[in-house]
Amino acid sequence: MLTVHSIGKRYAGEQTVEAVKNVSLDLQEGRSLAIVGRSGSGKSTLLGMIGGISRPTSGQVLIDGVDQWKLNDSGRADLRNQKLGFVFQFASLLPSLRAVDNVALPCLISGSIPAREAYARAHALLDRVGLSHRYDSFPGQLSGGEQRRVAIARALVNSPRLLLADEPTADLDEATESEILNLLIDIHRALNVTLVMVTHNPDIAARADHFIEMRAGETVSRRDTSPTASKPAEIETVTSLYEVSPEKAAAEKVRLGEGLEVFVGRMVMWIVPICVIAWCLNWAVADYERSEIQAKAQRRMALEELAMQGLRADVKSVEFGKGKTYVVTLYLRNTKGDEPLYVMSPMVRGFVQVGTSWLEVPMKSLESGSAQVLKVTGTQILKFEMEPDVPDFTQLLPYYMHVRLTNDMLISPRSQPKDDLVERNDSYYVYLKPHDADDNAILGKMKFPGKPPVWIPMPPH
Amino acid sequence: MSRVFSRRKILGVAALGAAGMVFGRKLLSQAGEGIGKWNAGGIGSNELQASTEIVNAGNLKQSFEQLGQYIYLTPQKLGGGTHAVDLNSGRTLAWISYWNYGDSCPISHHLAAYPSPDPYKGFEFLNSTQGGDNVMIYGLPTRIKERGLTGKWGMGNHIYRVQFDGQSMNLMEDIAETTGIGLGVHTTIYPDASGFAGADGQKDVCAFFNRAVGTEKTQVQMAFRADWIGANPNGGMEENWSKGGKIRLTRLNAAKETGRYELEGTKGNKIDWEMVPMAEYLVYTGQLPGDNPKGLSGLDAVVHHPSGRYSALIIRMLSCAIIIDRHNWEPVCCLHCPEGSPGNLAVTKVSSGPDTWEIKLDDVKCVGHEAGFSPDGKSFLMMNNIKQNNMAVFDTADADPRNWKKITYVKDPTWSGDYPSPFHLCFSVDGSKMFVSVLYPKPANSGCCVVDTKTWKIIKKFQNIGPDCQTMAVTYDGKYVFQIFSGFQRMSSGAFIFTQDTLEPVGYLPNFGGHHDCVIVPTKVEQLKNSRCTTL
Repeated sequence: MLTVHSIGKRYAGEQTVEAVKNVSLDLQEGRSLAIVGRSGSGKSTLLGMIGGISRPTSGQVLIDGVDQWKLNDSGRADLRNQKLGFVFQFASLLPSLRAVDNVALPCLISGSIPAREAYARAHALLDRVGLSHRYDSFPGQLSGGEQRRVAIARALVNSPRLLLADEPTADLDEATESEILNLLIDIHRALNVTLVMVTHNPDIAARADHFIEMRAGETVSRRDTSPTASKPAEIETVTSLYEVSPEKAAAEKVRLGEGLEVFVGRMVMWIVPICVIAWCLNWAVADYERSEIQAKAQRRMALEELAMQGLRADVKSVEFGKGKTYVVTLYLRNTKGDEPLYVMSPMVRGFVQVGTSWLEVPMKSLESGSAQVLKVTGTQILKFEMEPDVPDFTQLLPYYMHVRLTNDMLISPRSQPKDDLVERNDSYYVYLKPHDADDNAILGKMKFPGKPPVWIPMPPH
Repeated sequence: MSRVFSRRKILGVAALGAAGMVFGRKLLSQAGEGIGKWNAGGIGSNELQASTEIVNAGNLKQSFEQLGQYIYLTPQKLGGGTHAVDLNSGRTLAWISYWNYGDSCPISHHLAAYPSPDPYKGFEFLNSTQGGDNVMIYGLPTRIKERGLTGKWGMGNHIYRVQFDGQSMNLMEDIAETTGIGLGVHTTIYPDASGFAGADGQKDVCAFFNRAVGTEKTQVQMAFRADWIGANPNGGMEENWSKGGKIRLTRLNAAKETGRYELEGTKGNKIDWEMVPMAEYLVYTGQLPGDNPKGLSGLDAVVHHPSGRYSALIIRMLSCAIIIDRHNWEPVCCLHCPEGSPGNLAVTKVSSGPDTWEIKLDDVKCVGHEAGFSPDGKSFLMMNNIKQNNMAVFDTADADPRNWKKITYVKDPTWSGDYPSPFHLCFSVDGSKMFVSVLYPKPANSGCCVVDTKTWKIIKKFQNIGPDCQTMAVTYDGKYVFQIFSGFQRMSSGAFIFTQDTLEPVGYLPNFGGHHDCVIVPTKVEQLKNSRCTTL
């Protein structure tokens, strides 16, 4: 089961210390070994190297023929978990977990058996170490001896084949120490588990199958007793500790191990409806906002269509005015008819082409006391006076001025608009006959069916 | 507390809420459909109700993936050229600009393409340019006139024959220069692709040409001029037409000395610039200068019956169409389109030297504009505009045009007053639908509508497409319709695309220039009945 071959441990430093020197031993399955010696003799170091805690600087440790120090960290951890049980000098229980949780924990971590089965096994082991009444006690509520019992049960829960105990009664009184060590020996025998135990107690050591005494890292004496006959009936009985019936497992209440599933399950139970509600709210808000945006865009388009197609505007006529002025008549026509349109008093400006530019000319409204906002239901007439006194205008048509009229309007279907207001910018182009132009001269260049007109409109095309 | 807000209750309420919203939405949409159906069936079960779709350009971002293996040809109007776009890739394959050939004021106006079995390897098209002075009616602060660019080489009225050779466009011929006939408006190819017709409403002249190929020169097959002789010439200008009169159709002959006609450039113009929509008013008011506005009939276009024998001369000022038999080049009858006017008028030959015919009109109730034949040749339609806004529908199934009858009108309640007005038209490939552009004045966006050709009712309207919707074209696989809009030469332009069958908006095709026409190059002769041949 266990073979230690010329194992040694050297600590390098200013002074090299050889904690263990060339120790060899061979232990068959089901046998026990007691390691005794004074403090600092290398007992615990040797046990640590056997248990895979401390790497030897020389030699080999074979467990079932496997050199654990040739395994990687993960493989070594698996080996420790599956084949070794360790009882330390101190109980080293997790204070926030109950006794049964502490015992079941190695199984839960390894996942070797289901959580309910691990708890059933923990309960059985606690029964076995005499703590059937302390399942739910926390370590702080247990005596030192009870804590050691829990630690022994924890070391056994993964059904190890090799149990290592490093002075498991270090701080206990004599009676308790004896009680615990006896328990270990009993369990070793009952479960047929191989036991390596470091102890000061010579009586206990005497009960082991093998005995070695260490001094300054070396074995100074050995003793081999004849193997104790096994007790098959007892072994069978105790082996059943690890055989948990499905009914018993199903009845177990699990606190650890299944917690993640429970936690996740609870989270799902809460998060799913919360997410559904949040998604529904988000969807509803998004849908509402989308519909609002679309509705707003539709209203805007309808408004623009109303402003563009519902209102016709153009030059109705241009006539000679006083002096060199012209009277320009514009019309605004509501083509929808049944609903009024409101137009802020149009800002009409006049320009005459000079070269390739438009030169603005004076233009003023002839409407007296005109309202700021026009209500257009049918056709609205607006008159302006323009005075294009521009000597060097460009003549696209002989003698005629090329004139651009701009008309900037704010249009709304309501008299007091809020956001339902559209700006429309029109341009109208006309040719104007100068006041002093000679009709005969014009007719010499262009033909008209009658007298040359004062103005020639360009169609709104 | 936990009883009030148990997890089970919350979960249940959430699930119910979610289910309620989903089903509620579904129910609402179904209810909406139901209401729509109820309305459609409830308001006059015999009438088709037009659904209106206000086109939102922002929602149509090139949702199409592929428009088919077609070449889409568009003139750039004031841009001075034409470009060909591969609809399969969106590339411009080639373009031409007539400035580069010595035309100092090219206004690339209308076009028509001959069929080509593989347009990607080559095709030919005809492209008219407007009279050069038309550059002055759009409000451009230009000095083009002052600098003489509308003079000898910028008069316009060219008919360019252009070849795409698979790589570039090549100007093959200026047919106006070859023949002496300069016509600046519509060009329409014969249904058998053996030639084409051109017309010009400033001159009231139309001409028919053979098809020249490659370096050959085009020849005139026949030419006519249509003059108006008002019954009341001394009254007001408008009465010159409204009180009736006579159309005098004259066969034009080439000068014996030169073999050419004397109609190149601005020669023969009755008015100084074209009658854009609404410009008929300027003729009425005497504000449109020219040598002979009172004699104006507005012979602006020719469309061909799909059978190939007859062509219709479109007379705008009188809203009529003179039917010409191209077998003997004589007029057969005249379709008079205004509502309340007789539908089919007789043509009387009054002289043989030169051949002259007259058609008497008792009155003229309105002007007309674009027109066309259905692909099966059984219908003819023409727009009545300004004083009437509708489309006259003629049954043209009879083999003898003298038996063609006006049967109904396409109308819309919104087509009242002078605007909006139906403008250009074309038909779906299967002939079941007619597409009509609907014009609004600047700066409003125009639209188009779809007419069911069995009932001649409007079944769908697209509004807010873009400013100045002009001609339309259909892909010959029956999938798409292209509605071009020119933006009044100064505003946004492009092509709006929708499906022929489901009438769903598809997207916009970007283009440059202010388009006035669009043609998809046919690959077969029979596709001409859906191209710039039968309709405008």
